[in-house]
Amino acid sequence: MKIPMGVDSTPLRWPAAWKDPGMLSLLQATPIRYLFIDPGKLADQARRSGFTVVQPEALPSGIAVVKGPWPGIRLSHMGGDRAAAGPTGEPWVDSNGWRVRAARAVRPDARFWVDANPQPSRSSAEDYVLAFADAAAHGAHWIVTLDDRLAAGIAAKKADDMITWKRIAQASAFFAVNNTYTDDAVIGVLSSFTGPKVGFTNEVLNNLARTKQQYRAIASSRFTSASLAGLKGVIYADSAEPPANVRNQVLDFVNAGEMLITASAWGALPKATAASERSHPRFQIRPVGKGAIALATTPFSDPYVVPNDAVVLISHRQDIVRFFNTGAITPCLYTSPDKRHAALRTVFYSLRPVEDSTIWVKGAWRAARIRTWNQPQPQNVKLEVRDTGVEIRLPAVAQYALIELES
Amino acid sequence: MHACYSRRQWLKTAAAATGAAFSDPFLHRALSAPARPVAVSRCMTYGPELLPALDKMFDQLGGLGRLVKGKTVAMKINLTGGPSNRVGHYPCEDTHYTHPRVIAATVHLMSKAGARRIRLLESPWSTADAIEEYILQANWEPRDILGAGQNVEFENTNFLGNAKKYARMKVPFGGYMFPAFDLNHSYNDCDVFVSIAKMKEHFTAGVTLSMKNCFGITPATIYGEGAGINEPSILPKGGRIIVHEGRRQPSKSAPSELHPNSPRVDTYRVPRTIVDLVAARPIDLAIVEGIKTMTGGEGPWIEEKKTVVNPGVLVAGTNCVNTDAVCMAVMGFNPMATRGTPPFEVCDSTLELAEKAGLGTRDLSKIEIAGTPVKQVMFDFAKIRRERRAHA
Repeated sequence: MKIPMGVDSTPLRWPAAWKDPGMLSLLQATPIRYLFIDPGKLADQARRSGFTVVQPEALPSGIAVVKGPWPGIRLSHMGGDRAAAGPTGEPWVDSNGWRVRAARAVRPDARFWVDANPQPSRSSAEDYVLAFADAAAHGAHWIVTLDDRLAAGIAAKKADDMITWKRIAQASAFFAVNNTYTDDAVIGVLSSFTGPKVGFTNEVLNNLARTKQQYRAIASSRFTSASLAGLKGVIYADSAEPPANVRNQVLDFVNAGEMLITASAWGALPKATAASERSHPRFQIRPVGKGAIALATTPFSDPYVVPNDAVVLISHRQDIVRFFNTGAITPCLYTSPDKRHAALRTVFYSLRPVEDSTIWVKGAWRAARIRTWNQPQPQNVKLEVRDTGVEIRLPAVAQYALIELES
Repeated sequence: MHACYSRRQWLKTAAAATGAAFSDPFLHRALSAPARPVAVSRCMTYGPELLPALDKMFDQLGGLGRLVKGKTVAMKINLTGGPSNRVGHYPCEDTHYTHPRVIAATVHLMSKAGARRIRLLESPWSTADAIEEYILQANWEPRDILGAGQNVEFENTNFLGNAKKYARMKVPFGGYMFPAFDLNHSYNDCDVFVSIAKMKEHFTAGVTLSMKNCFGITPATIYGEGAGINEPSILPKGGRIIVHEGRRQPSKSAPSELHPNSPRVDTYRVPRTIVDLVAARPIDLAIVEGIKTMTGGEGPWIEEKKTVVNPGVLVAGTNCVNTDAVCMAVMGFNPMATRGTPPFEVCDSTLELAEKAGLGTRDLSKIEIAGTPVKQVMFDFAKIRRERRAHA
């Protein structure tokens, strides 16, 4: 699916503490051009200054808003600054990427803004950069929303808060630039993505993102022959049967050599065309045509287990990116239409710089450059051929790295 | 001092020592612990020199055919830590995993020597996934190993696997910590057991060589953080905290500790448990790979300063204690070292405990070394350790 972008305008929610229209001048050197601002004198002034004033109930044409949590490593409810852990003991990450992907699956032509309010306990400049990065990696824009304390400090021109604002402005410029590449994926998640029966699928999508596997959300209402292009497997975890035309095309996909991972909610499935050589504690693996159907032996119940099983059922052999020493990340690989260029946008959720990380990308890439929000000029990075791909040794990275590859 | 020692005094002391040996079963076993040849070879790379080096070493030990022809061979490899956790940018195999080319070369030679079936075993961190899936994440190609011989397969031994029950394996000498272990069937359903390890220091046990490698044969479903209380858990979770810290016993279905009041300290517990394990599942062939490795500990998670090094050495033997003793000498350590001396500053010596259990001698004067003399291949981990700790 293409990400429709370019150099784009960025939205900002006008802080209540900014009473002075003179604050508009802060935005002039940034790509912020859309303002969520209540009707009144300030809104009028903003319009006169060239900004587009936006109301939540009347968004600009082609824009959709995805509401979600403040991205980052979630702190424990047990108190203190301990990170909450996921099922593997890894810190739990809140990310809106999967929400953007699910929303785009349903509205492929829309541009997406992410509405996520800062948490007072996580409102450093780095946290703000993370909010930009988490949206931008998925081709969306974060609606710049300042916490009350920071907004008041900026209005009062407090030195520390102005430094934070400068970083936010710098990040807004960096993340406004996007490209029109297509997302590369190994696993698809097929769903209606609407209605009350998709809650489990949404959680599957959320947890699939945490596996670092490249995935694509596919809406059954928008299903086309291109929906499954390049995929090695597809998960169907809705609690109702998919539409007949979708079922047929997915079964063609299986017959051609790929895998469907589903449960009984899929409905009737073709019989095995050969004896299975694979066993699995939670799936019956049924060879069909050149591919296979992994049918859960009991109804899906754990949205963490399903995506982690799926990654292994499809096999890490199909990986198109692998990561070493990166910690909690969201990687998003996009490829140019001619397949000669790729962009790997990676969000690093650690607020501290991550050192000694290495990324492997499948393909015969010959050159790589890295850009970061605080070093936007591209820096060459060394490539080392490793099997069917290249390993890229990254310098210390904080929050986000855009790695551009050339073949 | 010898001049002051009269013959009468010597006889008195010797008689006392002999009496002690017969009254102390551990001392008696230590004195009669076996000594078998150990082969040492220089090998600087994982390139074309590797296969002939290993081939020659196995010949020096009497030939692989004698050991493996017509047999099912189980080979415990070392994949400690997660596959995406590296020391710096270095691939895991250049620092803390047994290198896939050493595994493949050994598989090839065993297959050529007539092994009927070769099973590669490991209990990877906190997962029941196939080993192939695990090593793919480390950027390894499983087919490079599976295709190196005939009837080669991997098995994840961190859980029950495809068997119907765990294999109960008793510690013949009674055990320091455990009288027996419940292990994945693969450790019982084999004719020959091989430990193929990386030459490294170890935070808890001083060194990790062919014996320490076998710490990982314990399934986390019984001995791990998420082990079931009464019965083994279905899936493994976390590290082997039960063995390390002893805060609780293994699943009740498995034999519990012999001495529940013994110290709850890993530097006491881990070396003893290792000896129990290698007694319960004897190692028929120990191979220690120190071509490329790391100093400072056993993996990337160790906080001491770590360096990536190229000692360029291979060591192999049919007795694991003898083999590890030679490895220690290669590393610049004294294999006769006891608690309080490097590398056992804070832990008990696994080698000493193994010797006392009668598994093999660690006395280099009793071990015949074939191939390259130790002095020629010595890579001074001990010196690096001293300097590192002096500057810490």
